[in-house]
Amino acid sequence: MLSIKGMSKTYRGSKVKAVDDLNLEVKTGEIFGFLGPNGAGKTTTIKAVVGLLRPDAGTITVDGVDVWTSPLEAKRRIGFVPDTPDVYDRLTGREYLSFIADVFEVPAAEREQRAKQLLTMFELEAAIPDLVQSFSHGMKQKLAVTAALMHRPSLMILDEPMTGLDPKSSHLFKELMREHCDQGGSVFFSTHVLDVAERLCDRIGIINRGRLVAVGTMDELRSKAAGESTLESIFLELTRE
Amino acid sequence: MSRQLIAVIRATVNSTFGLSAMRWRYRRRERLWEILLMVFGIGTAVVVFGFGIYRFMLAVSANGLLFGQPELSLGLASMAGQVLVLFMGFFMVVSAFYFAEDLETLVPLPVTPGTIVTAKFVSVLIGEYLTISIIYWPSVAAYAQYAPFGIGKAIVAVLVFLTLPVIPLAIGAAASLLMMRSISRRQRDIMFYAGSILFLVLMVAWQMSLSGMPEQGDLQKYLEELIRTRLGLVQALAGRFPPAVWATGAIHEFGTFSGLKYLAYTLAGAAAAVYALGALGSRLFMRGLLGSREAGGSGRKTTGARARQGLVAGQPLLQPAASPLRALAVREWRLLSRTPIWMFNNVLPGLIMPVIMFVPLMAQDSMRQLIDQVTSSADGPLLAGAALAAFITFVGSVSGVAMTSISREGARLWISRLLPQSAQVQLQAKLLVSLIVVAVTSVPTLIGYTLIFRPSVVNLLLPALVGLAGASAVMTFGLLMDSIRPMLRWTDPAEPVKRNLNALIPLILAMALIAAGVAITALGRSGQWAPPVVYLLLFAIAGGATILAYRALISGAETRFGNLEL
Repeated sequence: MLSIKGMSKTYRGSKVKAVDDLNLEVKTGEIFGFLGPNGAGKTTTIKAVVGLLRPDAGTITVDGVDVWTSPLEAKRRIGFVPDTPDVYDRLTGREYLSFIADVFEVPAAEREQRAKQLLTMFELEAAIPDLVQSFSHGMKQKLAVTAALMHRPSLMILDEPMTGLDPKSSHLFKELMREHCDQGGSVFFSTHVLDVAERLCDRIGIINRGRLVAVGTMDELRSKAAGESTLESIFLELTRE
Repeated sequence: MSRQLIAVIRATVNSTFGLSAMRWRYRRRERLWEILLMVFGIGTAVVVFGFGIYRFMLAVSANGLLFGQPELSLGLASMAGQVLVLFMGFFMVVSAFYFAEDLETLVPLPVTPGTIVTAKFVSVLIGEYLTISIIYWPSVAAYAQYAPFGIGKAIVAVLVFLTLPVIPLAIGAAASLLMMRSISRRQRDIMFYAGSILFLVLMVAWQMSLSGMPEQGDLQKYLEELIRTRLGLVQALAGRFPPAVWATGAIHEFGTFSGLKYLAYTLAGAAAAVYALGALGSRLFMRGLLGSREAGGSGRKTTGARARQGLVAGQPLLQPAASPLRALAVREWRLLSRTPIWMFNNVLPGLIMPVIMFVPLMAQDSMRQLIDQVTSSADGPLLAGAALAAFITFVGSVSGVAMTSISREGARLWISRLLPQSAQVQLQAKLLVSLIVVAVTSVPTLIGYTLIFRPSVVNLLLPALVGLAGASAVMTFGLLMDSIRPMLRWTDPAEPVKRNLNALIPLILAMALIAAGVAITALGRSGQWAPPVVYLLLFAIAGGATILAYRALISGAETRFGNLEL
């Protein structure tokens, strides 16, 4: 589903590689957790995958479509939720979702039904006639998730998706991720909440100082960090300076 | 000044003007061309406008000298600068005080509201110095050509410059504090629009009052009165705004007791204004800020209730489907029209400038006689038509609607970057909205022109088309500039429209087009070409410039868009 091969990125003016020769595969139907300390290269990787940041080297494909040579095709396959749900404050929720449905060319017959399904699930129906600036952080996050799913992407990419969600929404969201994968989609998400990653992810990748230091199922990670049993201890062991 | 206040001022000014970011880039020798481009752009704008103002003020001083009062240029500059700061500064202050995103960082700090207000005030003030210097210093230079001007006067001129925007800006800031005290989030936008309309009305009234000066018959007596009085012309011009008279008196009467008195008034007035603003800010700022946010919450409940009623009635959740281009254009317009500071800077100039231009022409008999003479002459209609085309082009160039279009997206540009629509389509949508805005804001100009010059249909439509083509070229070029180096990092929505160099650079193209237009019109006059031939040539130049700019905009769009790092 998602393939990253030999990706490197150095920011202008910096001598340090933010991401260094990253190779990663996310399979169809898989929830992949991407972990790492602050500044390890998680957000840089995610930005490169969704087309917000051009890598210096390497290729990134989604469903076999190159993100940088066929960006529009790739974007139709991706649903992205950033770490801060910075959406247009001066549009109403309804206008924002309509805009997203229009530019993603969601079929007219499907858009209303899709909006109803997602908005009902996140209990946002009553709020969407309001301006987004009146939404709480959690509501904005849910709106961003709804917008990202309007066009039924095959790959969901989420940067710290649980931030700001209340327990109920967080639970719903996890169920949604699992459901998305059960229906043939994939999820690639970064998080600092190791409990969530441990319970939810089929596979986990750990990045440190721009390099992928471990990738695999929980069992495979345990075997790499001998003697450690929880994801937290494995993470600390593998990212020790 | 307390250390806390200095620290907050430093942080606010630094963040507003991006000083640390600039230093950081300079140290890494990164994108130095941007700094060079900025210096070139600002330098060109300063030279073009500054020279124009200098020439104008030379004429003003020369005329003032006829009555023994060469300081008229100083008075005019002081008044114009302060009035500009009073009105423009008011919107900037409201934006900085109540709309800036860094307030959420500043408010929880253990500093007084007065400190925050003063720091924000200083950051706006610095921006106003840049604006006012283009009017003030050329006027001082013009004055120095007609009056003795030594080192003492130069020092006083610097002191006056430093205090010039303080009082009008403090008045604007105090007004904003009082108005925002009990106003809701929703009403804040309404207040902005109300302020804009008030601004328009005041502009008209000001123009009418200037136009209401005595006509030729009474002019002799009127002028004799003015000449007898010291600073008489300045008093007549700026008497209703004493700080302008003080500023002029402080420089012109340097070395006398009267000059010292005016300087004391100027300095004390500025100090008192800052002190009063700090005190007022301590009392009203937080109440206004918090009150407005609480009031915004109650508004949400009301619309929420409406939504539930709507859902019960089975209304669709989403709006009817639209094409991507239309959806992108509608989004562009909604964001522009719902952000008052953007409307004020990008759309309102197109409506205000014709008012400023045409009201005196319509109100004064002498001007009407002059217009009659022009229109009845053989090449009068051509000259008037060429002036109309130049005016529409110029108005289009001062509207930053296209030039700041990508910058206005700021941190939300990630949304556009993720859309499965090409950069070309997205830029076309932005250009479309910009051109519609220019076309619509040209209507008052065309109405004023028709009422004053009563042109034939051909003499109205052809120059209008030339002007719109010129404005299109400038807009397209401006959007190209903004797609190359947008100003995406801002905390206050005023920044991408007010402190964005991209809004200035296209003025150079506008000036070049207008200069070409003047040359061709002069050739047409001397060669006695038929006006349609002249218009056709002008249209070819403006249209050609538009096509070139459009090609440049579209050809590398995908790469430029892809290279924007967020």
